[in-house]
Amino acid sequence: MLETELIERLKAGDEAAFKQLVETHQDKVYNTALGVVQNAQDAEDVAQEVFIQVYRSIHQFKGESKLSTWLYRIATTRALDLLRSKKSKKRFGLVQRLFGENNEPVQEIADFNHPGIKLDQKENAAKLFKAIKQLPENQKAAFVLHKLEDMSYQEVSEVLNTTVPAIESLMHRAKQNLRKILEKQQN
Amino acid sequence: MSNENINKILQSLDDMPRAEAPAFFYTRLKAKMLAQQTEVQPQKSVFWLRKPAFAFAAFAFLIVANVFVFVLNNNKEESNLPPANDNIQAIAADYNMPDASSYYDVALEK
Repeated sequence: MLETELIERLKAGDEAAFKQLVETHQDKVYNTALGVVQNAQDAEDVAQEVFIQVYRSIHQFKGESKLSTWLYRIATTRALDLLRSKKSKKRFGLVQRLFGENNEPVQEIADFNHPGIKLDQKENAAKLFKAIKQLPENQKAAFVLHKLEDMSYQEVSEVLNTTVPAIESLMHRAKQNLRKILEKQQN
Repeated sequence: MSNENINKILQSLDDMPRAEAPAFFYTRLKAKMLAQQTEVQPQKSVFWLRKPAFAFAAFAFLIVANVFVFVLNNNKEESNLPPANDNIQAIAADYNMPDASSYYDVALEK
């Protein structure tokens, strides 16, 4: 089915078209979310929310970009939103502990292991994911899309709604920051 | 850490296969959509009641109202108090005391 036809059918509320859309793109969306949130359950939640948003707002899709680009954009935004809300909840938890309302010890989150990592790369990849977590949002998004989804800088720029030189600069800064973080982790 | 090691770490995600969405993803997605549809939606007319801005505004209004009532009551109490001189004259009248301002007539007493 052509993309334009699929979009028309989605706009008409065709359930079979929606199922096809989900089954075609679910891995892309899930993998992107997983790279950003680094937690399988959260990534599934984000992926579900992405498709729900697409189902509800397909009428707003003007077809200026590819459907997959739109899906990646929503997935990145949603995943970053989730990280932000988790961060603010964590901060609130710290305040509660300060005032003695919640004296439970802080649980250390185990290192994230992406299911696609080869066994011999497991240790290095865990270190890299830990460092990715500390990157600023836009650098994190660009790095995940480029490395995990194997996107070109052109494709990343379309998803993040910016220019190719901007993505080149983002990636350069992301790599520099990752180097610094990894050096610090070792020391 | 040596530069070589860092490069190895940075390249550890190269050629990594994409993670697959969990099994029955579509079924779970449909179940979630159905659950969201059946959920009781909060009434649109009162959705602003949940906004923090409303809570702050209500709190500020309460403070201002309290201060206003306190100041108003204070002023009323002050205005209700009779002047100090009136008090003394009232007591003098109660005890049939001569007016403090009138002179005592010594000749009349004799």
